[in-house]
Amino acid sequence: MTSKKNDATPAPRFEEGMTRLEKIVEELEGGRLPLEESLTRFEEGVKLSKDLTRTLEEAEKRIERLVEGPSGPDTVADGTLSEPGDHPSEGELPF
Amino acid sequence: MATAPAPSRIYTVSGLTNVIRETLENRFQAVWVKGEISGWKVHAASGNVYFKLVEGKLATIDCALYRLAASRVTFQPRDGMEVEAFGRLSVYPARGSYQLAVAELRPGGMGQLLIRYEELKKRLQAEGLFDEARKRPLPPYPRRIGLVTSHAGAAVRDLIKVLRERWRGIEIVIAPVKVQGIGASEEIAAAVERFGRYGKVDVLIVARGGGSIEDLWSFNEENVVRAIARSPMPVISGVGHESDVTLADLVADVRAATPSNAAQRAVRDRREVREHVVHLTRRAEGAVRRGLGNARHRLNGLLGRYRFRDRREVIHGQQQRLDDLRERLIENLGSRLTGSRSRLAAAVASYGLREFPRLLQLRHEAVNRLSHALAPAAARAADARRKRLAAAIDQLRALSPRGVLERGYCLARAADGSLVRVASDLAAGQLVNLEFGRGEADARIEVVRPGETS
Repeated sequence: MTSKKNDATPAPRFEEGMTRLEKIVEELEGGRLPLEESLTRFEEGVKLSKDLTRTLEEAEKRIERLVEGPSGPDTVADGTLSEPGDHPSEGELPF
Repeated sequence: MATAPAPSRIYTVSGLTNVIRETLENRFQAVWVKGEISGWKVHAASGNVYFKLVEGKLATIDCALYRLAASRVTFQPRDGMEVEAFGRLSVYPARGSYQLAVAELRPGGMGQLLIRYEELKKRLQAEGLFDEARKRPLPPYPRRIGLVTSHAGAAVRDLIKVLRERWRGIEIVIAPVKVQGIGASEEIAAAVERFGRYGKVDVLIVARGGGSIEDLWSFNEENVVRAIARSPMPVISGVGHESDVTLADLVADVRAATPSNAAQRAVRDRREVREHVVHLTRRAEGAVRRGLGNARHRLNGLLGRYRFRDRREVIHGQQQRLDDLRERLIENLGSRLTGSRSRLAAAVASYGLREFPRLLQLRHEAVNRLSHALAPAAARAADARRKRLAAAIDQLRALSPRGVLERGYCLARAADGSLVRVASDLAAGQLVNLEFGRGEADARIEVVRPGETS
């Protein structure tokens, strides 16, 4: 059984990035930041927007199957999903 | 020969028919009857349907299914099909016949199932399992999604297709289950629980494509409903078609009409999100540009203030302070005027039009008084500064060589332009240039008296 640890290196969560970007825009539009600080904030915003866009362009991931192993539930990367013997007529699904 | 009893009352045909009609129609206003369909016939013009419900050769009841009721029938009735019909009896006096006006028609054998469904629904409802307050919000940007559905069939393909169309990088984990027939509800409930223990998905979709009510029945089972209710992550249900509402739908945090719809509800469309990100970035850029523009404007303003200064007059301190003072006074006056103007506007707004002319007059006077009071003050202050500046210029002049010359001294220069500091530098007959406070003269030396050397 292959154990895939998808959350070993947690990417910054998209949601947090969006919230931060929205906050930055609000602050910049508020016009109360000193110029120097607003430029720093803007740079952060541009970097965030790049990171977010990169996440949006991510490639398709393999489909995993959740099975019950000896040490509890685990996922098995398995694009086919076929269960030999169980549904012999189905064959492999095209994903 | 048997004789009828003497009539206490003789009915007319219509009279008796009316009594029969009242009796039957009152007695059978709302009745369920089961039987086999026979002679199913749709009346093309009206859309009404006429058929008989028969029970072998024992009995027959004429039935009418009017257009509106017929439009609500969700299956295709055919002759020979066992059905259950709900309706009321109506009597047709002219034909001396009666029929069941059917309001609802469903496949036979559903009765028991539906009774159990209603009982379970009531019980779970009483427990609060369907309460709106229990519904959890979906994560806006899930990274991993769990699917509990059959690994065969259109539903899972639709789910994956729509999920990936909308959010290409979405991570999908499937727990394939039987979705109908014996053991299906156990598999579904177990898969939901397995996802709960696994924990690494942000949201769960429990789905099944369309089918008959019986096909969807697993999603009405108590173990499935309870498993969904206990799920640690939010659950979206997408079972059957729009019109099918299972108990799984009622307990789910979000009820989607179909599997595709469940996928749509689960993830946002990345194109829309990208638009939003671009939009936000543009707004940030715009704000920064405006900020820079304002700063540049202020800088130009500051530079402009000194543009017309005479740079040859290097009396920085005084002039600059004079300028600052003038600037401050102008600003002060300006902001007071602006303040007055906005107070005037506020007053106009709060007092309304009736008070406007009087207030306008009052404020005008106040503004004028203020202007009159401030302008001379500004002028006086500027004047004082100017006088001090002139005095300072005089002092500086006095200290310069020219000032010394003006006090009556003169400079003597040799022919090569060098200053003559001691008489012994000169010789009789030599030409010298004399510079006075105003003008100069050339002279020839007659006698040299060197004086004592120290």
